Amino acid sequence: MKLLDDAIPSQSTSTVTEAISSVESRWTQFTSRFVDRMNPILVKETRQALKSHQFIVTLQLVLLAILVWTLLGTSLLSPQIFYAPTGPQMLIGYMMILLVPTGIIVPMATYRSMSNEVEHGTFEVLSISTLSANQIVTGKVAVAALQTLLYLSALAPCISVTYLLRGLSISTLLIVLGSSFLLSLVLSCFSVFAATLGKRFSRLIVITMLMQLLFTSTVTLIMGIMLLQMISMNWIPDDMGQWFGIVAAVVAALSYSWLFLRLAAANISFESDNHSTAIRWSVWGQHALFVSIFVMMQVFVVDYEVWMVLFTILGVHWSVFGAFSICESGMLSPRAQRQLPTTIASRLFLTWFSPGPGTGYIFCVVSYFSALIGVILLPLFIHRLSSGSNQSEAIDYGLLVGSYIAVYLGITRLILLAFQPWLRNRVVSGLAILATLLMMGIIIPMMYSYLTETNNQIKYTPVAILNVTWSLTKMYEVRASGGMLFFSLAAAIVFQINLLLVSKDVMLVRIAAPERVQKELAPSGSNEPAVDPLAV
Amino acid sequence: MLYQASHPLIELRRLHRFYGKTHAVNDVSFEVDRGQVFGFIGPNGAGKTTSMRILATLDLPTYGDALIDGFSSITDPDLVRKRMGFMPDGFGTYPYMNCEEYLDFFARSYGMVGMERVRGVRRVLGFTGLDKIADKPINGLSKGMRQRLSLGRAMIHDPAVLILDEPANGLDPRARIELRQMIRQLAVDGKAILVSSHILTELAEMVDHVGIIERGNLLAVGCLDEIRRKMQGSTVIEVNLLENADQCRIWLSSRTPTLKIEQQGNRVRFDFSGTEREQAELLRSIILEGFFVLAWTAETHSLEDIFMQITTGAVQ
Repeated sequence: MKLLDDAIPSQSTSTVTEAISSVESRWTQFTSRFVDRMNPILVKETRQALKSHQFIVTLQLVLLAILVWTLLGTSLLSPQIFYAPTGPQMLIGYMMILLVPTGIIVPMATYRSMSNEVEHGTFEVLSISTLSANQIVTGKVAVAALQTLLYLSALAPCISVTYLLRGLSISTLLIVLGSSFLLSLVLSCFSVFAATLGKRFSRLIVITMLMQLLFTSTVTLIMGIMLLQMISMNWIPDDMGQWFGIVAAVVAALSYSWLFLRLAAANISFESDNHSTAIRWSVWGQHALFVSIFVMMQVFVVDYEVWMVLFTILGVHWSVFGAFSICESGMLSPRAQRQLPTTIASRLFLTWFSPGPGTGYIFCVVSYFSALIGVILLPLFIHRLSSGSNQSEAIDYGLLVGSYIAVYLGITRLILLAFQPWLRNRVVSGLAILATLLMMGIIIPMMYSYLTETNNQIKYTPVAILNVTWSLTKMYEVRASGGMLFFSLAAAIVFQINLLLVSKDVMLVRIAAPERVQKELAPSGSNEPAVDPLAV
Repeated sequence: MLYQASHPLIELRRLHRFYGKTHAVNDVSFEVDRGQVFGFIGPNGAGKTTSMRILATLDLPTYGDALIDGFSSITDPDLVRKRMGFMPDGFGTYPYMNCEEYLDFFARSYGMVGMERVRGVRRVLGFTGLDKIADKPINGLSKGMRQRLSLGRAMIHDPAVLILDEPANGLDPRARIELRQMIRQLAVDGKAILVSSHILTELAEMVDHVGIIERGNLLAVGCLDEIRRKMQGSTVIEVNLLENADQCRIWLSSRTPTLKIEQQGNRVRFDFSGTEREQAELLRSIILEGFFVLAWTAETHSLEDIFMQITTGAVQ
């Protein structure tokens, strides 16, 4: 009887144990399969971070700071904490603590993680594995995102307390926390990009480090001030325009993060790879995004001044990108030639996404002017917009910005082309030439004005059209001086010359990959031999 | 299983690499087949590492091509990387990582998942003898153990080709012998191995073929015995006789009047410029003539002798 008594519970216990172990084993299998699909860099760095002093010490310090602020804040805000809304005051303290790891430590750790790969010689063995450059950089950013989430999780109970203390809405809390996460993400992407610059230009490692420090600390400071104001005002977006602004800011931040990652991947990928096409698509995507945001803004603001803002943004966007684009090597590697467009339509539209300084120049200028043409045609689609003097001023402004892009980038490219055999570093040379041209654009009109005017006053003359900032801030004088027509014609001529010179790049045709490579790259199963229909 | 063809697993075709006016690699061509260990030797700055880095898809040549299993390192680096493992001279490590985690990370990086990865890591830990210290932090490893780990990383994805740059550098004698055995075993397993080393005695015992490079130029390439024969011109043969050494010397002189012969007691030394078959025929003739031969030794040049003979010691 005793044996029976013992047997029954033991049997049920073993059944329960088996069930638990079965669930455990399934869970382990599931998590193993899940981790198998994860980015190897994320797995490796998480393992390292969990053992590293930096992460453990930082997390402990953050927890300690949270504890100290909770006690200090509560005692400072007593006794009104019991009857008045004190959530914002407490949240300000918590956010100041959170911004240190998310805005400074995490981006800095990401920068160090990437630059250490180069300095400690581990990058070479990593780069010859089958991990792509994209996987490497996204892995680094994924680790940063994970660390940020851990810091946010550490703060989560305190955030709940601030909500209970009243004075804060759920929307404000979500916006503030989302902004901190986004800030960390953008800065981490920038840090990875800055670290890869050190790999490409080893002499600039100190400069990249300073650049990373300056950028992250400045952005964190600005964002911090904005967030603190937002909290103290308990700011809630109350109309569609404000919500639209938030969405636009988030999309812009994400698009820049993406661009930084593309640039970082291009910096570390193999030299014969096509570095340009992916970046050009990203930059073009941003261009489309800016234009879309401004078109959408017409729903809220019917004013052509917004287009002048758009042309300024696009002008800076294409000038910066164009300055680097025209410095690309003119040689197209056989690997890149395998990716050239093939059909007539694709060659017409997609050739400009292929690497090369000539295609890069045309790509920048044409993309910019496509936005200008869009603005000219906009009243046809949005009937509320009349084509009055405001539109014509905006279009003149846009045309002048486009002419500057076409002239300065075009002349820089022609000089680079002429001195190609003697140039050692195309990027440095190209940027130096462009800077010199822009400086001459400032000095020549000033000298001309100084020498021609009897009372030694510097006045706006038609020659002053060469000065970018002067002309763009004096649109009335530009239109009156007549220099606008001359400069637009000059831009058209420079563009035509560059277009003629780029014809050899357009004539390039795709080269086929060797048969073995095609077989190797074909999806599995497609390289199986076809059944011989004559075989019996 | 990766697609494999009948061509050489490693092939350099007229490889050139210029750094300004310096010709680090100048028209270097050679091939390495499956199961072969190819020794790449030369003084410092000769162009060995540059050639290896080009093969390993870490650098681009100025002209020429480097192929692994028929795929170009320049145009198809992704396909080359699947087939090739590279062990560089320097070995960077990650902090806060043990041997198993390190190998696991690289297995993941080569796209190995699930049991394939687990088995791969176990296989490499076993082969390199690191299984007993699998959970030891890398920073605490000795030089020899680090070299083993580096070799393990290079072979984690079971590549057909291994490129080892100075693998025996800084190792103690036991570690060197063990490394040599590992490399020989890998060759037996069908891998093509390109290995560079300064320790020529060590290299001589593991390679089948060698390439001697100096100032970027490949001075000699081929089977070790072939090069030896070409370099030597004639072989010094020493015959140890039981008796009648002076009669043997006279017999040899009458047979080949131009032969340079020396006699020291019962030993006769002479220069012989024939093939191995002719050498064997001469030995049979001596025995048939009635001389009692105790020992017959053909002195060959060591790899070091050949290296010293071929190279001039010039650096760039």
